[in-house]
Formats: sequence, C-alpha cells, structure tokens
Amino acid sequence: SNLSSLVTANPAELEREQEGRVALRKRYLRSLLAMTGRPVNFTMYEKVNVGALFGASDIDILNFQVSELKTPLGVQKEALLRCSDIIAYSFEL
Amino acid sequence: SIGRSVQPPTEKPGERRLAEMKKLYGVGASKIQAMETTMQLSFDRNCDKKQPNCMIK
Amino acid sequence: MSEWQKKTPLEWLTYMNKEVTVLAAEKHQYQGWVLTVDPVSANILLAHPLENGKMSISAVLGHAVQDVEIVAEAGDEMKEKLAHLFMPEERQRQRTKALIQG
Repeated sequence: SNLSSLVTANPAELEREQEGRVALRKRYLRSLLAMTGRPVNFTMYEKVNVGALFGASDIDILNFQVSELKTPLGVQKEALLRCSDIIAYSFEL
Repeated sequence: SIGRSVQPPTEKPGERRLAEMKKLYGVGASKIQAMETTMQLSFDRNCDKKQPNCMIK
Repeated sequence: MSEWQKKTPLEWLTYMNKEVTVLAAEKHQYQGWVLTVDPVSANILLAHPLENGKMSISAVLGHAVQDVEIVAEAGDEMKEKLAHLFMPEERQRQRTKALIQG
C-alpha cells in the first residue's frame, strides 16, 4: 500500500486521503464478494485465457482461489491463480 | 532510518496491523478490517478444505 | 512500480465515474466506467453496460496497467447505477429476482 503521501500531509489532507482510500477499497472488496461463485474469465500473460468459478481472494490481492478452472490442458477442480500472472479478469452482473 | 520507532518485542502482530490500518483508513479502519477478515477467512477455509493446486503454468 | 501504481488515493479518486480506455500489458485494451481503483493492488475496476441489460465488470490488474485515458464523465443516472452495483441490498434484490424467475 501507498504510504509515501501520508508523510507530508497535514491533518485535513490526511483525513481526505483516508476517506478516499476507504471509499475505493470498500467498493473493491464488495466487488470481490459479488464475484463469489460466479464464472469469471481471466486473461493471463502470453495470450492464455482461462475460465473458472471465483472463490475468494486473500486480502493483499496476491492470489485468487478458484474452482472448475478450464485451461487449454483440461479442467482443474480446484486452483490458485497468482495475481501477478493475470492481466485482467471479467464477469457479468 | 529517521522517524522509525523501535517496536517493543512484546507487541502482538494484530495490534501493529490495526495501527497500520488506522494510519491508512482513519476512522474507517475497523469497517475495512471487518470486510477484509471475512474475505481472508473464506480464502483460508477454501484453501484448507479444497487444497487447490497452485497455478496453471 | 509503474506510474499508475504510484498514484495516491486522491488521484485514483479522480478517475471514479469516468469512462476510460485502459491500455494494458501485451497490447490489451479495455473500455468502461471506472467503479473503483483498489488502493492496495491498484487494480482498476470497470463497468460496461451490455445490450441484455446486464453489466460486464472487468478489472485490469494494477501491475498490468500502462495507461488510463479519460474519455467521458458519467451523468447522474450512470453514477447512480455504478454506486449501487455491489451494494448488498441490490445483490439481494437481484438474487430474489433470479429465484422468482427460476
């Protein structure tokens, strides 16, 4: 997380920044909850596309736990995707 | 480094985490922490129960 | 760390409710309305209305974001829509609707 701007901020600025961070993070966490159990498409590096049912993420957004992962090599019942291997993901709501 | 306080060895990791959260999220820290805890719990539970294979490449 | 990842929360906030084009790694491009930017991962979350009335939600991971260009600003109706997409009561309403429709 980004702490650099906190160092010089005055109290009012700091508070605005904290409120902004809360709003941004809250909406992102809610999106992950809304994604639970839904089919998600993942665009990985090197032009690999895979689909899976989303399970959960760790809080640092480093790993996604998924089920029924469809890869070019077959279906994997349970899997962990490393977020550093993913370019983008999408789902429908 | 300048300005970094020495952490007493008796400090619990949870307390440090809460202090960090307060710095980042201010009055909203406990709300965010509650949401994060829920998510991490289900992540941990799923990983324990389902033992997913790490990665596809 | 990329320029995008180094932005402050207040800078990321200025993208909220804007329609953007995101240039990502390996020449991928994404367009949509910015729902949020996760301040932990810098992942940018976009909503793209579909013709069937549903919303396509996509996220470009912070590390893969190369450029974000603002194309338009959301009107009140779109802002309202974006604000309620992930609200628990809204999810409940949709779930109930889905149950009724079977």
